[in-house]
Amino acid sequence: MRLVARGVTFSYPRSPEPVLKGVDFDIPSGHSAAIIGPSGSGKTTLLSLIGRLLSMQEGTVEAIAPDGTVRPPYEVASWVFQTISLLPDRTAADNVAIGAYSDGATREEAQSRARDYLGRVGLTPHAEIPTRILSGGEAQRVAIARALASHRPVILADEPTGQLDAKTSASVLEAMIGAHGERTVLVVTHDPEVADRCDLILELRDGRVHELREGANGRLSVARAGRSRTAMRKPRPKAKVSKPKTAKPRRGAP
Amino acid sequence: MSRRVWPLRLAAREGINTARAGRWTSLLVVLAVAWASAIPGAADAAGVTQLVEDEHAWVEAGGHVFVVEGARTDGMPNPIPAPACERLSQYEGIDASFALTRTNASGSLSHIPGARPTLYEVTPGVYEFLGVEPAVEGTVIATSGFARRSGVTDGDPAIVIRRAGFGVSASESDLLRLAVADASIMGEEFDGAFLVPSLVPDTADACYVRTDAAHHTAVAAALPGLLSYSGKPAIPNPRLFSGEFTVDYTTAFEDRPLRWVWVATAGALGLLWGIVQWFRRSQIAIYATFGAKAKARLVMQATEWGVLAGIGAVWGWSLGILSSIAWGARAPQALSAVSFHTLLTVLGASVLVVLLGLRPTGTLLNALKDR
Repeated sequence: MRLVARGVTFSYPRSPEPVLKGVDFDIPSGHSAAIIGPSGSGKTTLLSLIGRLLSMQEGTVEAIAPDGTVRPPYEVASWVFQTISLLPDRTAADNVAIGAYSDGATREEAQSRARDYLGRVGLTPHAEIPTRILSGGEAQRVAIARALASHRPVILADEPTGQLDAKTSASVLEAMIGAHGERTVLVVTHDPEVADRCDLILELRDGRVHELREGANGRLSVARAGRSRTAMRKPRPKAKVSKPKTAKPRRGAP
Repeated sequence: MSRRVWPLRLAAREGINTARAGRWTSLLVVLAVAWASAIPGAADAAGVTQLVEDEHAWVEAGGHVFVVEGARTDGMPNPIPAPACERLSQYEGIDASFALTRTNASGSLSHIPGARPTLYEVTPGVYEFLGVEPAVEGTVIATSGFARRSGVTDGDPAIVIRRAGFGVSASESDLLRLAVADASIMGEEFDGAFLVPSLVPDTADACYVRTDAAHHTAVAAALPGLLSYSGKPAIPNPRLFSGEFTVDYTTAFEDRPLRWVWVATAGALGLLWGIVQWFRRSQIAIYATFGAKAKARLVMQATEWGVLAGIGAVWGWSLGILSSIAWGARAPQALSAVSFHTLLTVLGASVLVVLLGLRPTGTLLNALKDR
């Protein structure tokens, strides 16, 4: 799914200044993108608008399937949140199954997927344990397994490694961003290392897209990104991007 | 993606699973429902039992008896038409009636000459009124108070000696059969008296009418006309005094204070559920972010409530019945009152649970931030 935002503007009540001012972006299908920026720049707000945790005030965000079908992103996205966002009294398998239910899996199918994805994040032995007794890293891996088990083509992640140590953080990222190619992954992060693992880095500043560049491990060629690598890596001092910067999808990406 | 996401059956199953996994939260709700059903139900059952016993005693003491006397003309009371009084039991709502005339004479039994019971002449309706079987040879009715003091027993042969009094000459009856009856329903002044059934005279001093709770008011309204004499309506007086400080048993059951306590307990349970859901709003929001629409989320919450409330209600119902019986309630009242409170408490709380589930919850972001 390609994610395309146009003119996204948002103000919180009792706040005189909009937190987002006409944000545009275009993330190719099957790629990962990091949204970075200083505190208060609107990263989480933007992600929340994409996933409809907040109601859109102005502008549009669309998820466009390879066949051209356009859908609201929240219908095709699954979430990984910053802090532990599991049902604490339910088992890890139950939590992961909720992800599977979100795209219409039957009970048997959901349980099968739950076992499968818990295995992929190395938590098979913890499948029947209530998540309240898991460690932070284990719980976050359950959250990622839940997002992956949904089979929804977009993953929205808000600081997924924010409270994890470096080693756990690496394994969590591997599980999540490793899913790219199959899915479009959008990650809000403060961590440059996390951002560099993504194909694209979208930097917000003062409510606008300040810069759109390729990540260190990015797979976009200069030509595909539509701009020179140099230009993308060196932000111009007054580069307040007001028009959309489109990164075209890889050939053959879903 | 074309398959239906979160069908209601799945949502209901998720609600059941949440109830099963809920540990302290589930236990808290079950306990609250159980106690909210049991305590008011048991207390009301005990109260209703007491009310029924009090009403029974009140009825036994003549609560539904009217003493009808004639209106006064020139300071003198008019008589009561005795045949009309005797026929009153033909009317719907009147169980029994008889006419009574004071004889101004005292009497005694031939074998107990020292006793001086007052004699009253009564019409045959007294048999039905007091539940006495008439004897072929004739009957004289002694009150249980007289029997206790004199040692006579029901069925004893008796000859009543009528002593001379004002306007009454002395006489002696044939051999009669003594019937001992509890005449407390007629009033304490009859304790120790003899009631002598006789042929129906034209007039009498008073008419005693027994009705029931359902017809009490209607009978009171009809009696003045039914027993009017020379065009003057009679005056029916309740046998027992009633006033603002006495219990009105016709409305006491409806007016009992615990009748509506289920409204408070249902409200408290709804509030408790609202607090629980508020603390768990992030969990509800998680379902929303994974595609569960408002209807599915409502079904989840309602099902979870239904499971917990069902368990609590069964527990509370059993506990309520056992405790109310332990507190002295009779089984029918216990069953009725506890079932009434349990059912209405759970139904009322369930309405609140659904209303709480329908209310807007703000943005998902806020709910998730509060996790």
